[in-house]
Amino acid sequence: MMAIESLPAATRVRLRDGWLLVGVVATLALVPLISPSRFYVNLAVEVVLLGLWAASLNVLIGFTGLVSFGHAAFFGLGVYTTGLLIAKLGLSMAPALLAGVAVAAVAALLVGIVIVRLSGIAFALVTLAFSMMVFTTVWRWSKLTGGDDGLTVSRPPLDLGFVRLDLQGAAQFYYLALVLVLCAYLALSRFLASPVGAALQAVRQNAVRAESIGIDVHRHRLLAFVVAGATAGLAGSLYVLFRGFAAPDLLHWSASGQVLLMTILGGIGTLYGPFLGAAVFVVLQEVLSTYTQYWMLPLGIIFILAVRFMHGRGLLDLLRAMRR
Amino acid sequence: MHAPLLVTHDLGRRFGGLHAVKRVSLEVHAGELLAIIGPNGAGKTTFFNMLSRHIDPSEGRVTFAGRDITRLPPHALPAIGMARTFQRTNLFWELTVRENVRLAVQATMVGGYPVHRRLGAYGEVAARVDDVLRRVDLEEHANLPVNKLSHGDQRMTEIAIALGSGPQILLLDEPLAGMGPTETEHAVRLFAGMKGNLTMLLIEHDMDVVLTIADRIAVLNFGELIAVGTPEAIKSDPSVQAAYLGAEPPC
Repeated sequence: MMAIESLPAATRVRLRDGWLLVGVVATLALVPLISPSRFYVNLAVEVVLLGLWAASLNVLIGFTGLVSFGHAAFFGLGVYTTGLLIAKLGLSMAPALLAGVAVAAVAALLVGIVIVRLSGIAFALVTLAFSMMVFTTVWRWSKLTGGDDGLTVSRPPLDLGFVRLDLQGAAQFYYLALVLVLCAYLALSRFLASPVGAALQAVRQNAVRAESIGIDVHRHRLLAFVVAGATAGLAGSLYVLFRGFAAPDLLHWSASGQVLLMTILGGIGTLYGPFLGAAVFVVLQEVLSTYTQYWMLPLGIIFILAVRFMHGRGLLDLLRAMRR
Repeated sequence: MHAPLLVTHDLGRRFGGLHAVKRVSLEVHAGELLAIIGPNGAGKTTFFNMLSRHIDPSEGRVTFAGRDITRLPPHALPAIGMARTFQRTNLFWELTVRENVRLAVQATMVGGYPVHRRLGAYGEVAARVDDVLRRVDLEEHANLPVNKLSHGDQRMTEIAIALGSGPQILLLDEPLAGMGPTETEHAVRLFAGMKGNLTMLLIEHDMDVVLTIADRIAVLNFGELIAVGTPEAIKSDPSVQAAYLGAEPPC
């Protein structure tokens, strides 16, 4: 205790956050054991996967200062790449997942090269336009994607050569998703704590000064865009394996709006805030939709109140403020 | 005499019909403090912004240590040894003094795109940050957010960030603007102490300061370089006196 007290404040916060992470992961790992039905397991999968997607968006918004209105495109590319490779070519799980991440990353690189010179509303609009293009392509190319009818994807086993895991049960897949999301989370937080992560925050706060101290603003924005796109792709690839079904609405612009809401609700300053935002979003949606088919209406009101009274700081800050 | 470190060859810039800087050829010698003076609107800041690559020249070239840098992007300059400060304080406002300086240090010292190590694990970065903070006497406020500092300390942070790159030449754009007398004295002592090890190009309106610390002075008037020389030579130069008497006096 003495040792911890004598550390500077910032280090103490980090230690506490470390234990918080262990606690959250342990609680999540218990869900299948204490859950009376598959319902709560599926809810938990939904939360961690949408949470990863929202956290990847926060790499752009909260850390680099780029607001994307088209983040569903990269999630959707993960969904359809993994889904199509399994449904059409019968690939096994690991290569299908890797391909989903790779396609999303390459798409982000190509789009990024064009748009990292933009910022503000222009950047947001071009990301929106790109996501509409991807949506329209998937929707209209029904011979390949099934169009509006969607695409059924049966979950293949995970064959790693030395071990073959079946993963057909909800709990089994949940643990795979939990491990991969945790790995992605740790990788992202290391990325953001690295010199490059610090440079991204410099770019967000003051691009002109960042440039004059030797930071290549465009390259750093591009790197953030690719990292965010690849992570969204991973979330999407896992999501299609979870659902067993791909539908174009997963990459509609309204899906980009939803992930934006989760991110803002959770708080744009941290990596874990968006997971909290996703949890609130998923649970609220689940609860409200049992009472009314117009569940979007109360959800919308809650969001307006949240944004109005949290001043964009998110739930996490609100919890911290209440504890003080 | 020292070799020229930074040289402009017929450097000029037009803004539409306005010829803001006209074919300026100037040599800045290694280790000297060269002050640029001139009435308001003489083109000093435009000249500076061409050197720091924030605006493109319409004519001429700039060489630094023998290398043509006329078309380099601004972010390439710190790595080759050039850094600048801004006339209007230009900081990372959400960060502490230490974090502001650390960004400049890591950008040149670490370089590239390392994503696997925590920034805190780079001991050499932290050591240079401490060194810079000590030189500008900001250690006491190192962990304060820069928006909580006094104006004078914000101006010193501005200089500290530029020093963080470990430059060979420092472009100082009115670094003393808005500083009180004690702060000015502190800054002048800092500049005087760095002469010899560091080349400095200084835009400054305070003539007392300029005459005290400059090794040489260059005078711009209506975009033209009308005189370059030692403070004594400039003081007695009739064309300089005419420029200042004809236009508004230096403040």
